[in-house]
Amino acid sequence: MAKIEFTNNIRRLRFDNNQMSQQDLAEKAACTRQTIIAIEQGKYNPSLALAFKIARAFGKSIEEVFPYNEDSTE
Amino acid sequence: MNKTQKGAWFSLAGALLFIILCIYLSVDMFIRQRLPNKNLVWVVAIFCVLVGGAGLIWTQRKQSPKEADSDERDKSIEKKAVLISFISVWVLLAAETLIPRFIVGLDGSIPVWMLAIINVAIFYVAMAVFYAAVLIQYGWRSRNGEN
Repeated sequence: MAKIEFTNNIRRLRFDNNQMSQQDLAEKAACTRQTIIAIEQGKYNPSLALAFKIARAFGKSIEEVFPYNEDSTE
Repeated sequence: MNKTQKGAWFSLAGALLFIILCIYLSVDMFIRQRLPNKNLVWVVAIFCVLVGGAGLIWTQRKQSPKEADSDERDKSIEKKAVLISFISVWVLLAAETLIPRFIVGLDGSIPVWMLAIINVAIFYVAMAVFYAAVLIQYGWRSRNGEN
């Protein structure tokens, strides 16, 4: 089975939301700034609960924050 | 650095210091055949209180008041580090069994207090492996993703 690469739009959404800092997003999502950094860099895939919290922090749906590209699977 | 990273750095430094202390005691008592300096106990005790207190204050300080103490990623990292540390204990126990055989021979003997020092050293090595595994998973330093 091919490895699925998850992407996210967190960095763009942060800048679109009054240049929200990683620290501000971390506080809203109840996680640490290091976790937000790791997620942005694609080094960590958040759990469903954390993904929903991050999406809620932006007022967006989870698919808008973490787009799932069907083409990335084989 | 978040609290988990700070705690890992502080605890790793402490574990390494105690390992060095165990090595020093072993060399002094087993090889040089002399009792350690009586003042050493007081030095170690005062050092632990001062450094331990400063370390506790440092590790409790947060990047911001609303910062989470620990999140799911921290727990995942600690879980993997526990597994690595557990595996290291098996390696250390094997080493504890084999190394004295080559040093004192099959019919040799070591003092009873030496066994206590070795077991304490194994504990601190396992702890050092745990905290090192935590820090390696964090990437040694938290990169500032804003840059």
